[in-house]
Amino acid sequence: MSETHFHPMPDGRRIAYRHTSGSGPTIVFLPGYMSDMAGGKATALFDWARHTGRSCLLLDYSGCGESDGDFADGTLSRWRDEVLALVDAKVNGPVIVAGSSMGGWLMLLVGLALGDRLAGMVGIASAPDFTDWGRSESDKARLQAGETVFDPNPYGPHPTPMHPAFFADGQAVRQLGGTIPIDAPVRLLHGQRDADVPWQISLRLAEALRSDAIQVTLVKDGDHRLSRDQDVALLLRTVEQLVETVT
Amino acid sequence: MKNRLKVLRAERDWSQQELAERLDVSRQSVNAIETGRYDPSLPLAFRIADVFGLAIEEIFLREG
Repeated sequence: MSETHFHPMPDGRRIAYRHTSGSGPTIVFLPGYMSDMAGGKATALFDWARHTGRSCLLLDYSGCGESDGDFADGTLSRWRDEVLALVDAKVNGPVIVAGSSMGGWLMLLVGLALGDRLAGMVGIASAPDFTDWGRSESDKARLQAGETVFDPNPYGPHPTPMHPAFFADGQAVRQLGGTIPIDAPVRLLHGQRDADVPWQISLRLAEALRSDAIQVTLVKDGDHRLSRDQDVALLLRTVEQLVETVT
Repeated sequence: MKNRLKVLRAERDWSQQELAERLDVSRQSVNAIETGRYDPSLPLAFRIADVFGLAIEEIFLREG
């Protein structure tokens, strides 16, 4: 992890990133909610890219990992702008965006903004619109009233917050209600034992995307993280094949 | 709060995931503690100390 660098945004906040250069499109990995670039899938993708001479960019969203900022200020739009700023500054040529969970929502926003530079997308347990289908009506009312809502986190020292700014922004950038005007090839992976994001969301996403070049892979015994050895192997295989398809 | 978690983990060649499993917390929690984003509860701090076989003050550093 010695090669973490920092990219300053216009307001001075520094975004931590790792970048390896090689041939073909650059794979940009977008972590999930409150996650970071040190996770198993991100690290496996980065190591694979380095060993096979591909290009890969990892980053921590502001308020997460080693980046500056407060998580309470984080929104999908803010994090999208950070991803785009890093891509602008560090990446030449086409981009394949891979996103895990919330990263699979953010990849749509990034993909739409990249336009012709978007060569493909890989969603892992993609969670577009989770501010909508993932919150009860009473949660939504509290978030709309400016309250922060906390979810119990059985594995962590603190409950997981959702802040009102994140909720409001998320509701404004929902994607599943219409056609998503992206025509690049897309691969969607989802575990059917995912307790956080129903696998049907990936099917709805496949339906909503305008592209016809979409393949959905369901892993019957896969959980939300899809981080077991066989899941990571599937991810690497999927990315490798997509890179070959688009180059 | 500053801490030596990352160094101690590297010395043992443990990934964040491996340490997380030993502590029964999420990998993201290990990352957030390492980067100083939040301080562990006292029970978790004791668990961390036990896992490394060190005293809490050998892992977590007094500010200033």
